[in-house]
Amino acid sequence: MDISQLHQYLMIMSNLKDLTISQASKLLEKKEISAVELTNETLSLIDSEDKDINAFITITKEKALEQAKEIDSKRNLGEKLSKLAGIPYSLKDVYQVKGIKTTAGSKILENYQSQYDATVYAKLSKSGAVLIGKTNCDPFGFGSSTENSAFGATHNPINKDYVPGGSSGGSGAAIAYGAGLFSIGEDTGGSIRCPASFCGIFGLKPTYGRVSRYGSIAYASSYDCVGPMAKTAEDTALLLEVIAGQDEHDATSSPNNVPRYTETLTQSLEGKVIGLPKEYFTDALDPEVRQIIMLAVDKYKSLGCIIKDISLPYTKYSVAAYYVVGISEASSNLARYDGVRYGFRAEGNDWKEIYMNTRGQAFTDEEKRRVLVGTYALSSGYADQYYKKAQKVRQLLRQDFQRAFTEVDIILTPTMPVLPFKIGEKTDDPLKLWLVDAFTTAINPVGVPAMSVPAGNSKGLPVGMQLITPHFEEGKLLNFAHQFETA
Amino acid sequence: MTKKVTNEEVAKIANLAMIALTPEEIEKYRKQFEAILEYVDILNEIDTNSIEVENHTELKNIFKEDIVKDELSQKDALINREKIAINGYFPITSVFNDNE
Repeated sequence: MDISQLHQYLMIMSNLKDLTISQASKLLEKKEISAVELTNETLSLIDSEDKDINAFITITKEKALEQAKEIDSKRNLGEKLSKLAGIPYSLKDVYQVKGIKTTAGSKILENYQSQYDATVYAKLSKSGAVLIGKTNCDPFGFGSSTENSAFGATHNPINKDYVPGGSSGGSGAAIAYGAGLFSIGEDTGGSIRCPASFCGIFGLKPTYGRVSRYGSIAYASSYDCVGPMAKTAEDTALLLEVIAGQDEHDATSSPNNVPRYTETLTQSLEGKVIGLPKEYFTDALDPEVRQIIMLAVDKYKSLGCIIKDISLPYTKYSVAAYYVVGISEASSNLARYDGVRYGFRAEGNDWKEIYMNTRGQAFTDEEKRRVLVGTYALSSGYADQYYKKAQKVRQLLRQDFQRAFTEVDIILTPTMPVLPFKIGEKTDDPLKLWLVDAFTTAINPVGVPAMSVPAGNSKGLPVGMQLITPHFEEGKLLNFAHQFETA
Repeated sequence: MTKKVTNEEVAKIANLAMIALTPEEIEKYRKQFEAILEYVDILNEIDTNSIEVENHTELKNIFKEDIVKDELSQKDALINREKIAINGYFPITSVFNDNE
């Protein structure tokens, strides 16, 4: 390595925070850095920084170095490698990786060893991406701040007094401080988009069924979506190309072809119609968030877009419908945690006491609340009043979006109605915390794709805008995101 | 409409959900149940009698050949209970009493 190469090397390594997949991939291909070097630098950054951030539950150091070595030797043999080969990344700790601990952020799975690989991990491994660790999250995705995790809250690297959002808060924080160039989050009601917004990165919740859920620990099976979190729209597009597609292990995965999202990023937006739903721009919206979002709208105008005011009339019912269906499904999905075959197991005199003590001792407050209310909503005498009613309202929410998409190409809203809040600021009132997800939870019952894109900063805190398109139009989302980012 | 929930109802739900709760927890969740149920009561503003719930994906039945593959070995299946497994089984306390 000569002096100028050394200089460049040091520049890259001292600035992992800003390094993108596209940049790193070129450097790796030209052998200006090796996968082992990039992995080692990432691991030592985690070593020095993560004690103050707590983005990770598990660091997969040995596995990472082993995989990086293998990529380097393949490259040295002249093998043609994918753009992700040698790129360090993290997985939200809800994805199974055989032989590695998977906790879902819950004490009930504190020492659970995965017995098989999630499809998303298998696909990324095949492409040569290097797993450096599993990230912190609210248990089973229950939260918007990562404060509910059994393994302690994650701090926002932009300002450590603040939450990183949630539930994939560890993933958002890891990317924001340079610990891995991307992460795979999981979004049931905003768990990718909220931390992307609060950490100033890109986060995409794909169409329901676009990415296989096999090996993803379930929250609400008719909402759960696996999706990428990254630093640019281009990186996000590349990741979606790799992880999307039908999977025989997930019968709800779509057989639709996976488009080349990276090839349509630069299409012109001239004449495209953006809808602003009036229900999202009410007085309840933080004025600073509104200001930044309206500046983003102006930028789209200058790119030739037409702005149209629209209405999604059932919006005011979306949070209630979302939660009733979501926690009903959650109560059913969490029934499997009984302490028999894996996970935490409490003492008891008979089988029922063991089950009840196991769940009573290992579930945190938020897990208990959601399972209890979900059980209530499904229980005899109440199922019609709550669960079935909410499913019908869900149908109306879908019709809202179908109608809107006959008028506009894309819908633009703030991702979150508020700026990132301080750790501990909102934990007293659980219902209040449920309401901050109003703009993101509306999307999962409908199933359409949505993406959080960094729109600007207020008081040094990031603000994300949410873009929403019809089912399977992730290409359009990424096109809009990229054109905004590079304008 | 304020929905009244009793401690007995919360205890019954906790029993259905198989979660052991302390009396303090029952009281706490009772109050939160009321607040949450009052909030979701907003859904009753909508007349949904004529609404049919449709499949929200475009998917029809998915069939595949009934071939065993990628199965979990007994060793892997027991990996989270290897310290207490007995002859390749998960040990549990008896579910039926002798006199049942």
